[in-house]
Amino acid sequence: MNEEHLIVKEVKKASKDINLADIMIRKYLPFIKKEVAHFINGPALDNMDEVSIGMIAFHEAIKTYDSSRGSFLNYAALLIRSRLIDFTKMYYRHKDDVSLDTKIDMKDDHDLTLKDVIPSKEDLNKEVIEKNATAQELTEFKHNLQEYGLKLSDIADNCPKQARTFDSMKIVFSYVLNNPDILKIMMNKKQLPIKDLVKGSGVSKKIIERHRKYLVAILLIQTNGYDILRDHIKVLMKGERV
Amino acid sequence: MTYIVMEVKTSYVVILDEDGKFYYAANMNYHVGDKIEKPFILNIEDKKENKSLLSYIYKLTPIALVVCLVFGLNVYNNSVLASFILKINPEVEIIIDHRNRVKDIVANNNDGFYLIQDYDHQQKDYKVVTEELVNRALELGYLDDNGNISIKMLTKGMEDLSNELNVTLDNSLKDDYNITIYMYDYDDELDDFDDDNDNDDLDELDDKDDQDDNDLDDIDDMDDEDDISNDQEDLDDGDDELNDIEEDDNDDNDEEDN
Repeated sequence: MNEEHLIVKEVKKASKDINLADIMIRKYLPFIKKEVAHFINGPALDNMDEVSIGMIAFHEAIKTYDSSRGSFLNYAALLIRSRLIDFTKMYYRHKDDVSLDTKIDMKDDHDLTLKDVIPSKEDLNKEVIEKNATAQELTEFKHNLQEYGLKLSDIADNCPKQARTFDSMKIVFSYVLNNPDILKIMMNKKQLPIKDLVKGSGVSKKIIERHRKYLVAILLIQTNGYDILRDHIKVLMKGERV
Repeated sequence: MTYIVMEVKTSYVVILDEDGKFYYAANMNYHVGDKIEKPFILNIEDKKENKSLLSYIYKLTPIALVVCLVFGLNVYNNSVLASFILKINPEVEIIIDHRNRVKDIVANNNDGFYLIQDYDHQQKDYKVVTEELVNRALELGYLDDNGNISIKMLTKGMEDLSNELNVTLDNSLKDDYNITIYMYDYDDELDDFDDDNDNDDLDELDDKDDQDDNDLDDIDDMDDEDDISNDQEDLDDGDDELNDIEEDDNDDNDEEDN
């Protein structure tokens, strides 16, 4: 009973801080593995996708648990099983994906398979280079965020989930893209010029303030030096220019 | 849709999609900078945004349903299920609810009224009430050994109820008395049900009433006779006067004719 009480306390703290949740999950990894092993009817190894699913399900349990749901570990076990079922369904949905050995052409009695047209070593090198460049850019981006007192987990927590709120965010981006001076003001003051954004975009102060952290991150990507990230979120910016 | 892996931790990764949305996802051995296509996203609904009026209504719905069910069940239980007539000499109509408890008893004659006077039927089963009323009838002298009890259902399709009542009364009386129980269903003709003795009693009561009425009539008649005789005297006087006038008129007419 007392042990359960301690877990609930731990869960309460972890639900507000994803890093604490990460620490808690590492502590309860044997429990997660036990549940996964029970589900897959075999040993659960560290690098298995199912264990990753078990861990993210444990995150969900931490975030959504309240005492009315009964014992935490029972609730977590239930979520782990549910997400593993979801994952299995997703896996079977894609099981018909094209194989590398699929024949794509038949000329001069030579069978041409996908394997023959996959990227060459040069392409792979290019990919590695691009990946390293992205990683470097991200390290810089994280460092830059810290200047604003922010972490990437803060941004993920603050990201709008409702479509209507996200539409309001798009209006703000659109305004900033047409008025690049806003970015300069933000970089100089190291804070979001909320007044200017409210006045210029017409979006309510409440919405902008509520999603301040997310806006800082997205607007930072628009500043110089983040070409890969900017290129990645081009869908967001596409068609939003007035 | 492709996602960039922004941050990697043991139990999760932070990813960014092409729409500019950040998510937490399962870490399937990803590295920072990886571009992935089918992440397993941690999907948690925003609790703050979920606190709408509708969500409160959803939360209250089960409670409202339980209240409605309890209230509805109570109303249903208290509603009338059936009624039947218990006729010994006293005749009473017993009304029962869906819990087989007696809701009300109505006296159908004077003896019935005396039988249920000061009798508390609250929260009692219909079989208990019938048994107790029969015992009261025995105590009060309305029913004796070799007597009859008639029960007629006033509601259709209550055969089970009727049979149970019959068995209960039979068990209760068979050891000490030689009382016959007649059970009448809803469809049985009222003539079959009516007892001759009862009719006699009722007739006697009616006769008594008639006699009283006759006595009163006699008194009225006597008064009327006096009035009539006086009136007739007055009328006679009036007639004489009229006759005199008529006679005078006739005399005048005769003279004119001549």
